[in-house]
Amino acid sequence: MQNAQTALLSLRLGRLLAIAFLLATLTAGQGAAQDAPRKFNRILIIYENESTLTAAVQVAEGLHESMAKEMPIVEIYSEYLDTVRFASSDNATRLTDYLTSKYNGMAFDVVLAVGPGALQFVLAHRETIGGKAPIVFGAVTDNSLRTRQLPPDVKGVVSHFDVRKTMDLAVKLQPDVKQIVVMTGSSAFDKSWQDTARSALGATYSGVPVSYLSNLSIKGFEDAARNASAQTIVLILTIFEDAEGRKFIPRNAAEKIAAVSNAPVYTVYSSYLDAGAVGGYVGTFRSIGEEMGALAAKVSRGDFSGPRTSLAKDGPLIDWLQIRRWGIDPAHIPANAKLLNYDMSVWEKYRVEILVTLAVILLQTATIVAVFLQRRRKIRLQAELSLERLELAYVSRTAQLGELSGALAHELNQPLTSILANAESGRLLLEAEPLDVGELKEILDDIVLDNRRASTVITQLRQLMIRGETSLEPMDLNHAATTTLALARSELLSRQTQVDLALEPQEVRIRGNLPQLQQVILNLMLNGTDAMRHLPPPQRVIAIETRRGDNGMCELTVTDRGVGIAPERLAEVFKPFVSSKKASLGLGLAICRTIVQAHGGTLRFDDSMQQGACAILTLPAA
Amino acid sequence: MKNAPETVYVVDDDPAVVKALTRLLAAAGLHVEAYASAEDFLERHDPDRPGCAIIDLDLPGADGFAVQERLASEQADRAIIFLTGRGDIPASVRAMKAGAVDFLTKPVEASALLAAVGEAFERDSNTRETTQQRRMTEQRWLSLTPREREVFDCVVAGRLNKQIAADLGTVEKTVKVHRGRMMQKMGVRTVADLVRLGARLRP
Repeated sequence: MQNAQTALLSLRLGRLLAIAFLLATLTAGQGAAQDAPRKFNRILIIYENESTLTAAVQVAEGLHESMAKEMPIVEIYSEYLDTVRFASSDNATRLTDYLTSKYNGMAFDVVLAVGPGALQFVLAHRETIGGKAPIVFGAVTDNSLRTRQLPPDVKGVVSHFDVRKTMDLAVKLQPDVKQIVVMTGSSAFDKSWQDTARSALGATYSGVPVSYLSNLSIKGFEDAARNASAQTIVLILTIFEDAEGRKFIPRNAAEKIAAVSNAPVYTVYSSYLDAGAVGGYVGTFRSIGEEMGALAAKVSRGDFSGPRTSLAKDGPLIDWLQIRRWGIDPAHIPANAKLLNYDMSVWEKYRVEILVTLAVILLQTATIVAVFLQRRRKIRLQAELSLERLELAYVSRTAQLGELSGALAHELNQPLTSILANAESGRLLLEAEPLDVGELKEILDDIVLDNRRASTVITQLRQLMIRGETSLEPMDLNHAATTTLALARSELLSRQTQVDLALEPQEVRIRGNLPQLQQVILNLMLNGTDAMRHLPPPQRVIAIETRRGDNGMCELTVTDRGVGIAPERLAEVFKPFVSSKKASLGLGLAICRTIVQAHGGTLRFDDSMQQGACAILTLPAA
Repeated sequence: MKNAPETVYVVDDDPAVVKALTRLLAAAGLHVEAYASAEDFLERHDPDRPGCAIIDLDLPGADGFAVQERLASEQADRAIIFLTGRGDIPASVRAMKAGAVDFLTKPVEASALLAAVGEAFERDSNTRETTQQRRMTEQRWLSLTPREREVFDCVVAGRLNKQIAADLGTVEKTVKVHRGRMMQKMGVRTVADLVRLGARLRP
């Protein structure tokens, strides 16, 4: 833009033309004004390596992120020199010419140099490339700066690839180490690394012999690593190029070697981690990029305060997967080390998600537990309820007995009356002359008979009075019907109701609880008599029938000729506290149904009855 | 109760009870007739024969109270002893109010039963005597002429001959004649006896 504008100005056209241009530029876009400061930042980034180098990618990520934060509107130009792989001076010249003409006349707020070669290049050509803009550099070691005097408008982040600190870390992780191997490639950069390492580590380090491997093909490095003893520390610095002239991205070369190595591999570069290296004392390239971005933003605002160079943040960085792979004791890991791929990193990374998920799971679990508990409570309540029903059944049975007490007393008093009268007769006869022995014997026989009769009543009564225990035993449904009738005989008499029994000729075998079934039958019978109260006595007839169905079910029906049940009330009559009688709690049928259900049977009313009611008790045959 | 012509009617649907009670009463020297139901008893027994009835209150069909009511409606004077296996107070009150001699609960002691029977016989014979006397009085009264009946009423009301003559619009002498005939027909000699007969006629 500025380029075009300069050209136009140089034409020195008339006022109109100038106005036309202004209009054109205004319509073309914002921020193209000539003298006024741009509303946005323009930045040129020169990378020493090619664009796919992991280190370069990570630096770029950090840079972009921090610049996006610090400089809202920024125009970024990136160049990758790749001079490590193409180190010839011819190439340098060509690159210079190309970039010079490419960026000719463009002004930048900041030029960033990533890598020592990039810094050297930018410093050499800052007149032509980038228009003397201030320079911010990074990924440059302090070694490479030592011999250089930097102008005041050049600031940067200095990396300290500290071989000794990395080696200290390695020795700490492998206390039993017997051998240290340092690998470097064949490029000039690689060779300078070997020199640095030699001066840092010497021939022995911490009492462990150090050997320096270089001038090997990649295969040679791999073999060396494969054949190393397990008690070896392999430090791979850089291999940009091997002895056969094959060029590498150093991280990839290191990855190949680490993959086949018999001993743990260490590095000074963060980019090697995740490529098989156990760890190293490193600054991450991403954080270098972030620091450079922050510095560039500051410089672009004209703020040159602070020290000229700052050290990149570094520290021990360890790949947890490799610790596991080599079986290194985690206790050896220094407390300040950052762990990659650490199991817990999942927790650290996804803390919120995990917490939310856990919360959801907890809530679900709580819900499930709550539902479960509720279910258990319900079951317990049901058990309690059925117990209570049982209790109620008992209470209602005794209440029913209370209702029958007059009749039962009568039933019991009849034989007692005979016994007493017979005994007194006997006494009178004993005083008479002559003694009628035959009559006396007959009297005694009658007393015995009546005594038996009385005890039968009491036995039946006791059965009905027995509490609790609803054990089901094999029994005859006919027997239940006849004994109930015997119990109620007196009451039926006083209610002037006739009962017609039509029982199945043979036994109707079921499994049941006699007193409970008696209670049900009694209840149905008494209900029937109640329903016929308004009829003249001859019409008061209850029919009790038993049947053995062919479907494995046995049936007992109690039919009356009373008022019947309205169809809409058929379902209601079994509900507790529903009663058409004034002096009734309305529990009778509810309890009856509970009892019958406990017997695995059903109790219902025939809904097809035209007159009267017909209760149908169905029980499974034994 | 020796040589008593009375009969004890036992009404109970329970054969064993009937048998035992019959045996007991017979052993005590009583004449017993047994019936298995109220209907049977009402149909077959002779109310004019002296004696009493022992009736079970809880009979099938018509119960003891029904028998009592039926007998009362037929003006049969039969002393009744109720027996019950239930023995509730309202029933006993009702029975006694309706004129039962006794209300006994089963099982009944022989002494209590025999005492009740004795009392019932006495009541029965008293009632019968009273009834007989009333019937006799009624017959005598029916034999009076209309004029004699008017004089009867006045004498029973305590009027003097002179007053009666004035009331009836006749003379004292005529009244004396009617009065003498009336006293003769009624079988009494004194005014006091006549008043006692008059009370029988108006229960």
